[in-house]
Amino acid sequence: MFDLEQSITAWRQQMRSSGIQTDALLDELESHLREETSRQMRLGAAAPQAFESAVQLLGSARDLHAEFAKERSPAITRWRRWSAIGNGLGLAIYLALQARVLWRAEPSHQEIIVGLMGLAVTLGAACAIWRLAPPVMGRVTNQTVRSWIAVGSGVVGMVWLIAVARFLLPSLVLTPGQFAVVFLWAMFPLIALTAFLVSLEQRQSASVADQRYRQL
Amino acid sequence: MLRKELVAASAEPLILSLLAQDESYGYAIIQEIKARSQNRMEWTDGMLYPVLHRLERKGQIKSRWVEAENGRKRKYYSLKQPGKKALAEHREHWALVHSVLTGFGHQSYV
Repeated sequence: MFDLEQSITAWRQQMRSSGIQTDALLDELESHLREETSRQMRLGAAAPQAFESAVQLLGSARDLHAEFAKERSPAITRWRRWSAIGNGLGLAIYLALQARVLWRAEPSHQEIIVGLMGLAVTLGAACAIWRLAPPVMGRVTNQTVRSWIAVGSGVVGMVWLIAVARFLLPSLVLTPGQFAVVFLWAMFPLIALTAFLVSLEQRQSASVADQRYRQL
Repeated sequence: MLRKELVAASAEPLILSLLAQDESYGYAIIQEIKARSQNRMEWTDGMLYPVLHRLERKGQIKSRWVEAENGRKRKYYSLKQPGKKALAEHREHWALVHSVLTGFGHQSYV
């Protein structure tokens, strides 16, 4: 003899075993199942067939779980981001401790350690600026201000480049290694200014596309 | 029968439009959309719920459990202010697609 309650319990178990664990969600789907079953019975179907067909219409447990899993993905992405930050911090602390040990043991390596740390900080700051420049530049909507930022970035970059090449580098007596480090540091302001220019450009093309779209 | 991709793309605007009229629950939403499309928009019933939950997560709709007179529990969804804004945007976008499409229809090629 067909028992609707029993069939629903079995269906819930099947849903749970394929990964849909949330009670509230199962309640909602069950409510749907009951509505559809009774609609089909009102149309004249026998209870077992009505229930079967309602389950089919609702979709397989696997498909449903896959759909809901897509919905949950932002939380997973957030979790991954935090774990990446955690791992990065751990690595940084480990390297700092190792550098401290080396610093004490080998005074002759101190210069290299400072150089490497300086490079790491420079690279980190450059990455951060590339990451942060687009949202910051996106807030500047005034076209005149944007133009001035673009022109200003270009001028400052040129002046800095000339100052480094003409005055800074010739006045220093450097080993090739030191030269490489100083050169990379000298490039840092240029990286930052390019980031601003590129993000201005990106926003510009986005807003042009937007305007065109509005005209249609 | 409508293509699956089109059904999926239109799910959010359709649900928002429906909820803009009055609050409703999953089963009724599906029935309404099936009826209005003369059954030509085939939804797998269960696929509605992930969309509803997504809209709720985005803060465009909100939900509450209500006990019907027959003792059955139903989860009612209703539109929030950001949902109204999102709906206006959806309408604008679909109107654009529609106008481009009909524009091509009327154009005669020499």
